[in-house]
Amino acid sequence: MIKRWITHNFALKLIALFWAVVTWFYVNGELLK
Amino acid sequence: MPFVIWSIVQPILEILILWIVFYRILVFFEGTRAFQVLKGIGYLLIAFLISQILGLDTLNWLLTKLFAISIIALLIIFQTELRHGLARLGQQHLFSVDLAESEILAIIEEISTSVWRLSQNRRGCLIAIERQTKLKPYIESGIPVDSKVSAELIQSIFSSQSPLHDGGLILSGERIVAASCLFPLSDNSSLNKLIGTRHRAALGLSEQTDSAVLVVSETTGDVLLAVDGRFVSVANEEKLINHLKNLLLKKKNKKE
Repeated sequence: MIKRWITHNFALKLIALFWAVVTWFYVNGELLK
Repeated sequence: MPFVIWSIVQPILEILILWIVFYRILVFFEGTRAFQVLKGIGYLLIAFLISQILGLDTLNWLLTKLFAISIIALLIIFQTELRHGLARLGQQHLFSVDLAESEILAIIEEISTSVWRLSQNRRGCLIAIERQTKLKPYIESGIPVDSKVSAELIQSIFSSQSPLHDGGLILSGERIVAASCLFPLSDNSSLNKLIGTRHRAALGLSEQTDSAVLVVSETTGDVLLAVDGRFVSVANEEKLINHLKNLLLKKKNKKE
């Protein structure tokens, strides 16, 4: 079940996670230290 | 102590919420023309971040101005999508999962039964089965049905008395999503001039998306399956089931 959940739309989940992390670091000023 | 825990949990929680929001946006736009624009914005954002990190002030200034203007442009360009998106908020599961193999087999059974009965009765039909590419723009051109896939329902939709029998039927997952949908016509010049609009529509949709499109000829009762811009002739129900199994189960296995 977990494997199915992860593999379903895996690329989109990965892209979304990338942007979520980048956004958080950018907004909190960690990216441009 | 609680403050320390919160300082750890807070960023994780924030990233998790952002992840869900971004994922929903991507899923919403996946398979539509807007997704290409979204990709373009993604590249611009990466350029913007790099320009900030490397201190490229001129590029940074230019991109900042570009973003300010593009927000207004995007609101105008995606007016319809945004309206539909907001209207549908909260109607879907956050992370929907695929169907089980037994469910797919049951759906294939229902489709092939209905198609074969329609073929025997010389009833023309056009059925698109959604695969990876979302058929949202075509679904919106038709009449919403939103029902479980059943052979009887498909047959009644394509009966000559049904107001929904013109146009195509779209199946997505275990649902009949919409009927009377308009599909793009193929402009393939190698096609026989006598080929009807229904067949051109089946081929057109299979050229522009990865969906499997079934078409039954009203005049001969022949069943054809259009995939990747090509017709495959289907001689009997068993062959149709095998073709659909190959297309729909292969898609699922590929993902795993």
